[in-house]
Amino acid sequence: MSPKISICCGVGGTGKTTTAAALAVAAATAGERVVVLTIDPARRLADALGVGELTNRPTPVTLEGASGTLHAAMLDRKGTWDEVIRRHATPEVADRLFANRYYRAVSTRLSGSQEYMAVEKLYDLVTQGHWDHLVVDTPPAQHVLEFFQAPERVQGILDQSMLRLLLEPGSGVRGVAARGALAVVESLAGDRVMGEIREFFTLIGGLSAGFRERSAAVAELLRSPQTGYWLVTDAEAPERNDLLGFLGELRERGMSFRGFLVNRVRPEVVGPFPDPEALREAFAGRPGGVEAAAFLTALPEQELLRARAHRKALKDLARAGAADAWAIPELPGGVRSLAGLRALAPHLPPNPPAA
Amino acid sequence: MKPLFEYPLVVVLGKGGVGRTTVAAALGIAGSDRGVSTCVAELGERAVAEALQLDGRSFAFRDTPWGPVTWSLTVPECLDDFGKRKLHLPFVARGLLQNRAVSLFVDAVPGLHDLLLLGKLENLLREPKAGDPRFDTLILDAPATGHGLTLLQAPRAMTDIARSGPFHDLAARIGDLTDDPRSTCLVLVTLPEELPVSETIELAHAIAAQGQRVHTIVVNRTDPFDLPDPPGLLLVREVLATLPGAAALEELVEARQARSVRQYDAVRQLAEALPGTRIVTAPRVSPVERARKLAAALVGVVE
Repeated sequence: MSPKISICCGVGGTGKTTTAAALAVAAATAGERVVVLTIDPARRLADALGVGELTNRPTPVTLEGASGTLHAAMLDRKGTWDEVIRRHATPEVADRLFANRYYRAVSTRLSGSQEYMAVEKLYDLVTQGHWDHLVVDTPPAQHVLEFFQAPERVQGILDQSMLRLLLEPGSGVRGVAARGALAVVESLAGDRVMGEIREFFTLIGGLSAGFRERSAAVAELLRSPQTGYWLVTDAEAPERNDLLGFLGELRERGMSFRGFLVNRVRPEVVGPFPDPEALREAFAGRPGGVEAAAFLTALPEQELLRARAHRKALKDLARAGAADAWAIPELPGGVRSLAGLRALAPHLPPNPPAA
Repeated sequence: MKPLFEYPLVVVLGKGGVGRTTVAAALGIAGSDRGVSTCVAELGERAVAEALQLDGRSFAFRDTPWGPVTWSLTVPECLDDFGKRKLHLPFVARGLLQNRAVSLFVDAVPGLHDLLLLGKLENLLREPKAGDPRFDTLILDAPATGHGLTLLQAPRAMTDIARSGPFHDLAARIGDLTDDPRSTCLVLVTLPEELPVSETIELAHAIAAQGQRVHTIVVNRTDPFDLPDPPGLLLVREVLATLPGAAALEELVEARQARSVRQYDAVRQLAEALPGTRIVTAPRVSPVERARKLAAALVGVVE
């Protein structure tokens, strides 16, 4: 049976990594075998989970009293590229690629390759068959859609068309134009670079059938009803337009949207509160008492306004997106430990059964 | 370090959602307010333009109601410009640069996007032509991806691959600008929370490792530490404990105190991890005229 997948998307700085970890902890507590894959090099998350270091291989997390299990992994972009190459290539071709300077640049710096490798790693974890539920934190991006477009873009680069253009520009008017363009490129980049690039595309071209087959399977996985998408945001800065834009794209692509997870929502402010007169009297004659009473008089109103603004942001999101928006409360001390992550569980959406 | 507006290039870095664009726009406004001519540039986006009350993006320099000029650069625009200025290609030949082979190539070479964009900035700052606008300070809102660090690494990445040729020269010239501590300074934007702060510490270390220096770290959306200071808090606790009907108020006080302490701890953690780095807190501002309001609060960065 293929596992459930929960993908957390959203702009950075909204607590996405923490939310993914909290979802994973809750699912493991509820009895599933869970792995959480994070992208950010967030050492704090490793600390919060009580593991020394997160790597490309899932590390077990000790979760007292949980009926399921929890593992955590962090994407290693270069390591995952190397795994992908080893999977598709003969050892000899793999070694030549690993020595190619252009391959090294692609695997560590090409824009979009992090997203591509995140999806690769996800697929790899799915095919391992050890898990009931995978929770994924996506890379920070200006446009959340980059997560889906980047793998396609990188695939497009690796695709044979680049190789053909480099090696055999063809004939006719378009061929002449391509030759001219290539001459420009060649003169810009220099022989050496072009040599490395030609070698790279020749080697990778031999692997492209394997790549294509796999990427079709990955695309299917991302669209499967087993794969649910959460949009994570912050009550203070909901970035509503960005989120709704992304939601539209998700729906257009037929992906299963599960709902909004809104972080750091202030609790409702419920009185009664002492009236200003009573406060003034209570602090009368104490040094600093006047300031203290004034501060305390203003406090409930300030907090009430914030809490109301958060509730309104939630409601607006839910209505505009025609979906559920879950309020994840702000923990006064922040989320620093497994205990903190577990404290969020009652506020998270109920863990849906596998389809 | 010199005052901010004595640098020709200020790069504002920080991950998405921390208010980096607003800070970049606000720094531009703060400059204009002080009689410094500023341009706030962004890469293909229109967020800076919107923060400065303009619609859409444009490769043309545009004046904004609040003083700074805005500018949004994309790769095809910079590539065409590169062909014109550096390769001296006539208009017809520049059509070749729009060829699919070239765009595939530009997409496929890591860092080349960044180089073409930075090259245009370098060009404007170091070799302005007649008719080019002149700015005292150019402020770049770096992309959120990879914390903008990949952008600053692009010149070195290219000189690693290409040992000679126009791309190599381009990269070397840009590196010369971005690595020059007299010409370029970096402003980091973060939030007073544990994760953003620990990521910013890692970013600052990575920046130091490549020989660059951070001018200021802006800790954005910091709530004022407005509880009466510790003796006051003790007084508040003591009095509320005996005041009937004050339980709900006590809870609010404790929650506010915990939040303040958490933010304070985050800022302190930053200061301890990065001794000698200037750290400035900026308040949370309402969405209306956000950049304008923030500009007034960034005195600590610019003076």
